[in-house]
Amino acid sequence: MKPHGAARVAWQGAMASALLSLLGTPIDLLMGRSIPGMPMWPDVLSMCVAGVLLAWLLVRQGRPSERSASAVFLLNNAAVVLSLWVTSGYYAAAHVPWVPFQANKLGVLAVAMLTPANVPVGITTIALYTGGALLRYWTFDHGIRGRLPASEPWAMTVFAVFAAFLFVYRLRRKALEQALLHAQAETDALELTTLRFMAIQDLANTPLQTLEANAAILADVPGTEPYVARMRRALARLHEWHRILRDEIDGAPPSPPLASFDAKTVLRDSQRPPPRFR
Amino acid sequence: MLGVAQKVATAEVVVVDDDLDMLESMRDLLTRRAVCVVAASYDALLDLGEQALSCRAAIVDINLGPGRPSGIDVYRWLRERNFRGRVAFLTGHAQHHPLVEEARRLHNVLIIEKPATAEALLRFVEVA
Repeated sequence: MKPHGAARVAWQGAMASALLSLLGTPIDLLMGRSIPGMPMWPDVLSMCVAGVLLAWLLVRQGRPSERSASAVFLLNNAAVVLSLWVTSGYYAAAHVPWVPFQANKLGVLAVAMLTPANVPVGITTIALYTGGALLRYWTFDHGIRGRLPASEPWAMTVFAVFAAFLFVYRLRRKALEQALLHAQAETDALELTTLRFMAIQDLANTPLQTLEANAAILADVPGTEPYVARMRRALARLHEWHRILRDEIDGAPPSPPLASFDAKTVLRDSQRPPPRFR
Repeated sequence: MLGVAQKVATAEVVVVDDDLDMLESMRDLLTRRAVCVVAASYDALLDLGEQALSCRAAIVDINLGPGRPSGIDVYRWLRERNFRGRVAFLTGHAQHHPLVEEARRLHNVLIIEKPATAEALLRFVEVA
């Protein structure tokens, strides 16, 4: 993938992350209204950060950069983690059924899917969600921890491990796709070069054959010996050049199998990718 | 000019090539060993008719121009009319070109790569 393409993918990931925060936080805000004393500011802050970042990304989307996209991604998720840190304390303290750290678990999976192809950013963001949840868990007093499901904090840890695995897998797959694209581009270029060699060889062969025949005819004409000798030497050099070209063509991977081959057309159209009949 | 065909009384070798300079040069060269007729296209070969079919050898350019019948078509025309001579295909194409690969599968043919030496061409005419 070209650098510009990679930046655009990173940009889209950052935009998706900000958009999810912007759309998902109001749900948390609504749920939090049933919790006594739940402050609104963490969610509002998270939404504002997401909104500002999304606007900035939209304004600058004509000039995407991986570095900016990574910074936005990190900042947006840090705001979400901060918001979850505060609100989870109220959920835990309230005597209502609560499955802990659901948003953190969803967060690590979203990170695995949306993080720009940047290992430190991805791992740091997963660590933020996971560390935020685990630290928060240990800040709860014994009474609260006793009320929480026994699966915590291990469930959160398992989600984090899975998210890290998915993230690394995604990066490796992307790298493999890029390598395949690169290899395909190289093959295309090689095929095009081979095709051009074939066209040049094709155009040169008949004139060479004509010269060869005429040199032999001239050799029988008295007094032409020095001229014929020069022609033969020149022809020998052309033969050598022809052999090199033929070896290049025969040594190349199978060239596009063409049903018909017009050398002049090939050379004229050689700016375009070679036709494929596969 | 592509339709040119030159008839002579008792031809021994027929040469088919779409390049007129090449064709005339081949005629002048091969005439030293055999009586030679030339055709610059498939249609010109048909005009030669029996004169071409009675030859003991044919030297045929495998590619007679884009969109035109190829040297393979010439070969089939000759064989279908009981041409008993040897056929040499002259080719400037790479070994894995479809026409060359098709020619290689034909019966009793010799494939000569362009540019062939004058000696090689004369030898073919002599032994044919």
